[in-house]
Amino acid sequence: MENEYVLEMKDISKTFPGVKALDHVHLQVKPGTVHSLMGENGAGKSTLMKCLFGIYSLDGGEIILEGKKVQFENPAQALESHVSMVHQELNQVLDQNVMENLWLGRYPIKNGLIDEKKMYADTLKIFKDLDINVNPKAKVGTLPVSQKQMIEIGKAVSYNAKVIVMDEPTSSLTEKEVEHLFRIIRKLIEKKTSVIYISHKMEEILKISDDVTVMRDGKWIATKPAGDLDIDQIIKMMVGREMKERYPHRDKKIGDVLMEVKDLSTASPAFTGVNFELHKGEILGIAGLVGSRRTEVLETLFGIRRKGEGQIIVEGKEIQNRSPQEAIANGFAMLTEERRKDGIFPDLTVGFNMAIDNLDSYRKNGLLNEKLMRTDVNKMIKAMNIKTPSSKQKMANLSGGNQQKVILGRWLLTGPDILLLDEPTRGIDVGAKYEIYQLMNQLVGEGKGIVIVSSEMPELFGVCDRILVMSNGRQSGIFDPSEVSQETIMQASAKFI
Amino acid sequence: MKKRLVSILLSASLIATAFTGCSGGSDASSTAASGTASKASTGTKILGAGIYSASDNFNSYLGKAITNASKGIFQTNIEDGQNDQSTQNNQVDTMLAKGASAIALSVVDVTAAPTLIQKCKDAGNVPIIFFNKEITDKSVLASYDKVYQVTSTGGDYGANIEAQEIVDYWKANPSMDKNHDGKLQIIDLMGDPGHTATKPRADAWKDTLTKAGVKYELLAEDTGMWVTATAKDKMDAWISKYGDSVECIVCANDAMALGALSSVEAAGFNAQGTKSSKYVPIFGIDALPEILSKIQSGEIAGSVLQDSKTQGQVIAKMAENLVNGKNATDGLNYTLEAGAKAIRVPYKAVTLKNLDEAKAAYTG
Amino acid sequence: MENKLKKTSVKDLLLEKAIYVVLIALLIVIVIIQPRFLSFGNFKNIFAQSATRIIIALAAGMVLIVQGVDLSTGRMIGLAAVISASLMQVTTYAYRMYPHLADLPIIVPFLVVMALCAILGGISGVAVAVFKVPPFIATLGMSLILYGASSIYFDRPPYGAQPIGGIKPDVVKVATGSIGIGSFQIPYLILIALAVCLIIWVVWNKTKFGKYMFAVGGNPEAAKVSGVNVVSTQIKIYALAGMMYAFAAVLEVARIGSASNTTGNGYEMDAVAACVVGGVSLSGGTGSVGGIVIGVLIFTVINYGLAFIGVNMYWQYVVKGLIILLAVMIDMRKNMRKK
Repeated sequence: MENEYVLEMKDISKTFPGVKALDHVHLQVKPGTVHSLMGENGAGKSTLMKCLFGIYSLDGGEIILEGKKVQFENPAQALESHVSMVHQELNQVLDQNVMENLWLGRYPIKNGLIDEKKMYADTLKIFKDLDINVNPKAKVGTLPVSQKQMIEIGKAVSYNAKVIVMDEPTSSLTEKEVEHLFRIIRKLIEKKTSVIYISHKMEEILKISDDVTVMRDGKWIATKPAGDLDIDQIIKMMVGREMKERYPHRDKKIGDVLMEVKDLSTASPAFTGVNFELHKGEILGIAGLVGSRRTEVLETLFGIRRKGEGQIIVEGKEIQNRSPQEAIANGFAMLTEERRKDGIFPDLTVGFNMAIDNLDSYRKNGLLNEKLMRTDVNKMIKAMNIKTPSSKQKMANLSGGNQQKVILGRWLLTGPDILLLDEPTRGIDVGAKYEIYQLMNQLVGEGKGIVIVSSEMPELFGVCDRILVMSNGRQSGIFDPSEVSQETIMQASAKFI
Repeated sequence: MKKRLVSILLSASLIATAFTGCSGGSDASSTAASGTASKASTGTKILGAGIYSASDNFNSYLGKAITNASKGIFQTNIEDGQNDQSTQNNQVDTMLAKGASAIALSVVDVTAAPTLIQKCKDAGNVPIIFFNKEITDKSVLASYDKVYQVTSTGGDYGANIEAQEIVDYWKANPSMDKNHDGKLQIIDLMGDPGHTATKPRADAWKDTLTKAGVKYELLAEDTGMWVTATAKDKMDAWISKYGDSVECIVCANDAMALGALSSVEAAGFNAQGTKSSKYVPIFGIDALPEILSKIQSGEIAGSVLQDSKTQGQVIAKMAENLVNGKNATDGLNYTLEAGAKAIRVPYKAVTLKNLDEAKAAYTG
Repeated sequence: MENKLKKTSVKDLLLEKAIYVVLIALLIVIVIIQPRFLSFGNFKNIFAQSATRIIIALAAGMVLIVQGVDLSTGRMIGLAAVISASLMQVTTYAYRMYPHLADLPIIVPFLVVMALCAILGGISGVAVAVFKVPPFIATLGMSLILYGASSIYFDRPPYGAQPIGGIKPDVVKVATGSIGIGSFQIPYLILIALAVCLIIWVVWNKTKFGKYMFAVGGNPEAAKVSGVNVVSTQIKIYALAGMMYAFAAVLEVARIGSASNTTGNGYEMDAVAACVVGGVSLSGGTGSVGGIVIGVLIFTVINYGLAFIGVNMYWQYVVKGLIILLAVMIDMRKNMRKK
């Protein structure tokens, strides 16, 4: 007998001290479909998945897999039962090769030794079936994120997964890579595997999903076929209010030239010949494919990378920015791309994370004034609408969007003139994104200048006054988004490849 | 074996087993010794000499005595075995490869003697003299005609003499028996349980006391690891527990006696010497310069001098004799103990009475 | 429901404060076996014995917090001990290392070895921060150099290889003296340790340097991007640690009344063990003054208490090992328990 659903989570409830994280949530996944799970950060998506994988215990409700009630103790058990997860933060042994990662913990053994040949053949077969083109013997550390992710999917398939959960799989992929991922997902569905797809990207969701479940504040809101929905409807369900536009309105007030960058290049030539002006009150976008050296431009401006040729002129004065300290002193601030790797101090408090760059202004007689610090931090938490019980909360316990706001708050406390933002909204939900755009608008309204790197074209078009396009380490043009189409930008991105 | 066990336990107690090896030591002190030796020596023959560990102060003092006594006879360089037999074996290989005419060694592990003897035989019957740590297996000694030993008297490592000092003190000072029960209430601070001298010293003083008819009661007995700080920490607990009922403190070396002293002084004992309102006699072994001044002030009751200077002279002379094909004891005022093939340099009791004799050991 | 919530929070609290629980449990067990343990004198002894170790552990803890590990702790203390001891001998002492040295004020040896060890520690710091030598190797190398140096200094004529004794009474008094009324005497050592704890607490929690230390330890990449000078912070940490070792070494000389090249041997592991039991993460970024103090106290209580009860020495090792494992296992539970 065929069950209607391969996986059912019924009436799931989970309470943490003081918070009802899940309140009678349902999720019903049909075999061979893509079921998207949507909701703002903090809506309970991750908690729901953690309950599925036994990382959290249930307070109420039940999980039914192929008609049988199950209760996993840990992710390994779930894997045994063919429920698998492709993580947002990939956990792989970077120094080992692809197949070693794929079969980790269950290497085929022949005569007491690892059977490399079988391992290679099996890996190749799985990859071929899924149209994945990765050398099983390549070291994982040398591969781009997209391929690492494909390995994870391959791994899930190798466990004969019936249900694969993908958490933000496209957050660091280029459009071409996303296309490839979708091809793989469609292959999975052909093989009657179901995919639970968690993402913030509306366009993608509508493109790939069969069904959509929306959650808000730990509650189930609706489950509908994707064909019956449009972006505005989903947003409305997610945020529980009308959101007329995804990008807030701004009264543009472009002022004098704030920074002039002339013929900039890095010492070891990652990129060359970058020229632009940034005006007061302007948001300048940098577009480009992955590998086009967008991030490197920001890092060079901020003194993380050694500057080669060229000049940086701020308010008529040439500056050097040989180190981040120097850049900060010159009124720069930078939000880095990899929040987890080089943005946050996960084990330390929110207050610490926010105040760390601005300690100089809290010093009194050589000691730090706790009260001043707390006042500032609390003001910022309130102003930015950061969801945290208190400034003493551990940073790791905050959602991605709120962590991003904390880091932004950290920089705002230093009172910068020029903000360099590298993928500021990556992995953040719609509501938080909107708030960050609002914040950006407010900052340029105060006469600051912002340079933003983003992989999301709509975002660049939505918020930028001008878009600089990088292509293969060279600047291929600066465009006014109100005059050109996304295709023009795409063409410019490919100019020097 | 015992040593291995202790080191395993120790490592476990320090969480990271891997780290312990690193705190072992280096051979820097031997470099220092080599500096002095090469400047002074005029002889062309080499005496390959090694101590088991530079961390053992007396052992490195012996090394220095050998260097001094070899001046004009041998070229010598004291190697530090770093308390590791395989390191020492390598060092002996190097000495022999360099063409040493004789070897003088304080072995890390006495059971390694046959291997070391074999090395000397293979290198063309090079004479070998063991010092400080005694090889007790007679058959090993009989296996080679050019193996000899220079040690201190007896297998008790001076503890009998220490105990004799206690017996004498007991007889001379009846007030030592504070509770008048006719028994001595004693605390014993032993050495590192892995060290060859530890058990003999702990056993010998009890023997001597019993033989002399002095009854005693052991309040506490534990290892101070030869170390001042450890001894002090242990003593802090005991003196707090037993207070004035401690009638005598026996320490297996002077470093621990110093630790015990500093602990009891903090508890109000001994600071004014024998005139202190509360006094407990403390005995040690080694006659360190520091202890000599404490004996002078009366804070320490007695110690035992292991005569490193004389031992060094005997070793150098014996090596010279053997290299020149003479009798081992030629020109020496000592007789060879037959089975052990050993010259025994006697320990000397050091008390207030003969302090000058002990001081002489540190001059020249 | 509400009752249940309360119950778990008590359990949470116990887990959170696991090391305090271990310490108290340990004391209770010792008192049950040997009621006489419960005396002012014993506790005074335990605190006094812990005093220098606390200073050492705090220094080693700082290095752990910045994702390092210091294997040179013990040998650095050894070097500082022999040098300071040679400068603090009574002028009339027969076996002085420098027979003609004038009677120096007590502050001089302190300053000399603290300055020296700050430089030596700084060198380890430069190796780690600038040349990216793994801390394990940098400090291992340093520890060998230091042992060699202290042995060379120690083992030389006229009296070579003898513990350097004859320490001036006013120095000894720093460690053995006390202040108070009647039998209620607080040793200076405890007061000194308290003062050091207070200063270090302020440095860690109230200064930019302290915050930067946690930032560098918590996420060096993020610290760098945030404009923290990671290199100079690391160097300063190693230098400060060296200075604290030297300070502790002089106190140690005063406490035991002599010094040799073996002084301090193995202290690095005692310090690391105390830090880890006290909640300092070996991977850096976390640690507190209070935790480290408790960590040290647990070890001293084990040493002192077991000697007081009269537990066989071999068993002492077993018990010590078990308690370390137990303490850390309980402590780890709070990080891995199911929510």
